[in-house]
Amino acid sequence: KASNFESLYKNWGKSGSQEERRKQLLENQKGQRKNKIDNFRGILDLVNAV
Amino acid sequence: VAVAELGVGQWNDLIPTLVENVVNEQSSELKKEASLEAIGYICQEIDAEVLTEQSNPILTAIIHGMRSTQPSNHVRLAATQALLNSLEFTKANFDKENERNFIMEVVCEATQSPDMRISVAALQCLVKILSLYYQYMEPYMGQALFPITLEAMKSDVDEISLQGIEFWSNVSDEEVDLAIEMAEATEAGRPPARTSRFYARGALQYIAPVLMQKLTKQDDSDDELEWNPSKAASVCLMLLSNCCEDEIVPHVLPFIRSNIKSEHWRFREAALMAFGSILGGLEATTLKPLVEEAMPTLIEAMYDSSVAVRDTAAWTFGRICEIVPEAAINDTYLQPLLESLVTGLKAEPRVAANVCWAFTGLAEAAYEAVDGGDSHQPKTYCMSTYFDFIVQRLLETTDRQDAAQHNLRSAAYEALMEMVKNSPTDCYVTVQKTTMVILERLHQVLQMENHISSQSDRSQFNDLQSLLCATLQSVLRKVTPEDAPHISDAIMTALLTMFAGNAGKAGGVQEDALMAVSTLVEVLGEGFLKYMDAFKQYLYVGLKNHAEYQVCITAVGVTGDICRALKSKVLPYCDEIVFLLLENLGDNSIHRSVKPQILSVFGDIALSIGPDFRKYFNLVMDMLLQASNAQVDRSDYDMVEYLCELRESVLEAYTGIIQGLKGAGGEVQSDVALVEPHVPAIVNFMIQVASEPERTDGHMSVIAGLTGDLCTVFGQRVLPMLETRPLLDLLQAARLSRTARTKTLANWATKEIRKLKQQAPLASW
Repeated sequence: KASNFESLYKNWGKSGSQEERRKQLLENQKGQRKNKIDNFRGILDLVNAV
Repeated sequence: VAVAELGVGQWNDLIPTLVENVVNEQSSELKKEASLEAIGYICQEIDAEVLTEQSNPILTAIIHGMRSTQPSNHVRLAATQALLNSLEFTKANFDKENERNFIMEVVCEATQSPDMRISVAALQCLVKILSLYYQYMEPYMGQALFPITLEAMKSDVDEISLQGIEFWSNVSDEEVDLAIEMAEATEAGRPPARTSRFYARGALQYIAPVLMQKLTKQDDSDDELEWNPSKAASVCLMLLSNCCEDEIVPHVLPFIRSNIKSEHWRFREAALMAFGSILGGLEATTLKPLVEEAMPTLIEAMYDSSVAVRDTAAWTFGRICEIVPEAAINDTYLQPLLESLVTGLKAEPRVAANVCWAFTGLAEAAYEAVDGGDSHQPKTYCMSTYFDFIVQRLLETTDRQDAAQHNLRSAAYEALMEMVKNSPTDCYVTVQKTTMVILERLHQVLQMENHISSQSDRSQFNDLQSLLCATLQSVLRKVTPEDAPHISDAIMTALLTMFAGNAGKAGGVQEDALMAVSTLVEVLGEGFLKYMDAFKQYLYVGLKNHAEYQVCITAVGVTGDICRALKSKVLPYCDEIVFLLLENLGDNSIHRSVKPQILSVFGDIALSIGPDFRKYFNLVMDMLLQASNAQVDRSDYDMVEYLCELRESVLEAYTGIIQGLKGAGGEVQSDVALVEPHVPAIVNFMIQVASEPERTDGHMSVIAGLTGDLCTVFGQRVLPMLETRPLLDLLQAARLSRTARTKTLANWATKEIRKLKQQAPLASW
């Protein structure tokens, strides 16, 4: 590799958003799981109120 | 062979033999060169710690070969390249001042070699030494490193100039890290482990003019993908700006002002590039007026006769939208800016691709400007009037004949996704239209499957399917619950065809298609049930895809989504799912990052099927117990991060199982008694995690929740176990958390404990 910083040149480092989508999906799933658990606990409204 | 054998303690005489070959005066030039090359290759490939003990003789041989008295340039070059590869494990030598002085002297001397290859290799050594041993550079910087690298930057030999620039890029990058370390240390009230010497600030006035001069030496050829000093200079300016912030402005602004309207395209482009490069480091108060002043000129540059100028102007708009969107998104400039960008979509692929990235930033910034931060979608935004027109132009761009060049197709789809994702309510009709276009395209693409002959066509075909799936995800997220069932059959048919086709065997396509299914499950909820019989075989294929772990992770995630959506209706599929998940957990070859996801999904399954989870209970609890005992090398940051994730997932699984067996609502179902014998082990694990230095906010949140769960389910019997110092301390810390949910759970758990304490004592555990 010619430089450690090639990916910073213009949009060379941008290669699509798959990684971003993965992260977003995992976060989304995590959020839904938490909501479901809080719903089972009967405290979903309490959590969402904050 | 050496890399294989030295690592396991074999071939112990190899390094001494190679060293002897180099230092023995009787050795031929060829033997010395070959031995140094062998040392270099071994150093390049082997784990640094394997050779640490032998760093002294290795370094002796290398320095012996590098000295200016070495008559052979071949030997000197091989030695310099070997040094470059051995710098990681010569820390002990750099720690000793006399040895460090000697190494630095030899390296600096080698940078002056008339043989360009030696000079470049020696400069590469300096770049790496700076990154590895920054704290030791003070005595060498002013006298040697600064003049050597400044002269190198100015060189007309590209290879030498690139290393000079790379040196200062590294300095800036390192000093940005040091500034962050300093800020963190100050916040934590401790001294930083390392401190910045602000070399970049000191050198700014000397290196900035050289960099700007290099910016004007753009490549003449059509191959603008070649790395050269002009590109390196723009990146170096970017890093210098991040490091020196506003201090860079007086060194660059005069150049920009005097050249941005030059009659020569090279100077116009260089000025624009300098402008776009420095934006990232400036203070908001400096940045905004600067960009506002430049906007008319920048818009004009989008119509420049030079493709390079238009390309850089489009990129600069992308930067502005990311860094200071308010300067572009206003009544004065938005419309002319959008007009220039839409025109740019029809330009050369390189320009159009940069325009797409600008739209990506613009879409996000425009939406954020009206997003109230709550979960409600804004009704309208500043781009609503133009939304449909821009989306149509982006769709046309994805279809351009030359869209394969410069990643244009991918950039246009990304822009489209971002536009849809960040669209307010009044753009919904266009979102609906786009959904139908994407579905139609998916249908057409799937019909092409049998007509693909070449590998390159296959690769483009797969990329296109991935992009269409990704675009489907973004439109599905915006589709209303009323509309979703009307389009779900068409979407699912397309996705199932995709899974069944050859493209569905490609990891990237499989993953994107699974992600689209995940979104559809979320949108449809229980309505997804009708697709389960057709879909399950592909879900299982994904769960069995151990080789492509990202596909496996996505399949595991979709499994969790399905459980949450279908609730007890997932039961007929659970035997197979649980079997596959357990098989994955027991497979040591599977990538570790899949395992935490699986553990969490056990919690989802238990929540969905409630009492029917009993038949999996013992098997799953065994797995959770094993995972609770996992240990990792604490000096390996990645492994510590993995351990944290694994622990959070174990705790999530316990939570799901307890909640699932307890049942929703206030009444506690008797099935939860299954958990009771395991409560001491669960609490011990909670205490262990609570006491660890690596405890995260996520851990605090899930432990607080689990504490509350144990109280509500098992009552006073668990109180003595829960009322321990580590857990009470954790609850106290969690009550002060910056994360609202953690705080709420900690308060809730504390109240549950208090409630139990206020009750009359019952029979002991």
